[in-house]
Amino acid sequence: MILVNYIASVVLIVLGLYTVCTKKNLIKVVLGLGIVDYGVNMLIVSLGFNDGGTAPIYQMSDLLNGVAPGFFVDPVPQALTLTSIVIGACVDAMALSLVIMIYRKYKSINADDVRRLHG
Amino acid sequence: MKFKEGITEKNVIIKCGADKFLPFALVFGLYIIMFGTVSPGGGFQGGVIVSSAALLLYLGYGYKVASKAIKPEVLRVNEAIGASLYVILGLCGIGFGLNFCRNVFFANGQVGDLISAGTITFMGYAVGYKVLCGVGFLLLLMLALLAPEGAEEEAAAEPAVEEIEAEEAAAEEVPELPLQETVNAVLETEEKEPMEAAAETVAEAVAAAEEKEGAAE
Amino acid sequence: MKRTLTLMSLLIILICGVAAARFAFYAIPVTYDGSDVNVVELYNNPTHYDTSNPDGVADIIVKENLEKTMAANNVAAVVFDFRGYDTLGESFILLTAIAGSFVILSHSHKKEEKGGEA
Repeated sequence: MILVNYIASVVLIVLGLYTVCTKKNLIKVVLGLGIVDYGVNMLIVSLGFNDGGTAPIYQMSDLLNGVAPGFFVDPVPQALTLTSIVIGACVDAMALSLVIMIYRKYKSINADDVRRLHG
Repeated sequence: MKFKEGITEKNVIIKCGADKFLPFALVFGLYIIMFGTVSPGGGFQGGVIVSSAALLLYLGYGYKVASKAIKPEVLRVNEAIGASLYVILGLCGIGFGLNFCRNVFFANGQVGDLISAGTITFMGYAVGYKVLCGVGFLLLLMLALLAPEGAEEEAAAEPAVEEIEAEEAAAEEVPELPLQETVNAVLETEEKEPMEAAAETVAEAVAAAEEKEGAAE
Repeated sequence: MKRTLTLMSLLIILICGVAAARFAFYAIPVTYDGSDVNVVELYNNPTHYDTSNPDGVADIIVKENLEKTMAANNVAAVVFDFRGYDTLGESFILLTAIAGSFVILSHSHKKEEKGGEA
């Protein structure tokens, strides 16, 4: 529950949407799609934060010496964000290979040239 | 394996940097995969770090050396082997009478040991191997579009030029019925071995034409 | 005209998003506050805490982790043991994406060769 993280993730999502809606170069559109993924992942991870908690791993050096780390942060959103990151990377790879195929057929990456159905 | 033939000329600084960083990337990634249950990390993170070795090889030495050292066909097969290994380890829980993906081998030692977590460590190894092969294959696949376009166009242009010469030589003679067969033979053999077969059929056609000229005179 | 409409709508989305973030921070009550679990005691004596009245799923997972899986990394235990089925689906997504990229790129390469010669 950190306020700055929430606002930063909303700003990232809106910036990614702006890039997808406005830019003409197809590669920039794919980059904007990736930025939306990063914003959503940051929102999910920062939802599980407890004030004063540490990372959910039993560090051997601290525990054997008796230095108390306190309590743990929520481990479930961190585990599900791993899956979401991999899915974002896979979507980017497929979108980029489609852009390569579009360039081979139409000889340009400008979104305006690709719109009409050529004969 | 001799790599001195296919090395493209790169900058000295980039080559030295790739030399120094490559073993570090391999060993560090392997450490993060192996100690997935004890320290922060795991299968996915370590697999991506190890697969950056393919990228470093490409940056330092060019695409031919990278694809000879790390063969993309082998990587493609091993990715499927890693995925099926994960499913087999998940079925071990059913073999013990419990549900799918159940932890069955644990309680073998203290909490900080490697083998103490049971099937979680082996599942982490399988996923790390799968991500390693998959992302490395994807990188080499996309990098293949950059470099050898010139080499493949040159290799494709040579038989094309000879095919055009063979077709012109076959078309110069009047397409009578016996010569039509040789022209068809030239057009058919283009698919199999264009260079040698086209040369042979052209030589046969030229010899047949010379015999006819000699018979006509 | 179209560009100003796009910018205005994105600005409205940004303002609504920031207001929602502020609301989520101040007004939504916190369910899982793990401050009643002492980690050192949990490590030394894993069966001390009972989970009959839990605070949420994360409470049960943190307290029962050392009994059910003797793994020191809680996140790896959640990814591979408690939610192992999701990791299986994720492996298949990776496999499908790489196979799809391979098919698209090799098909496009053969198309270019045939288009160049014909």
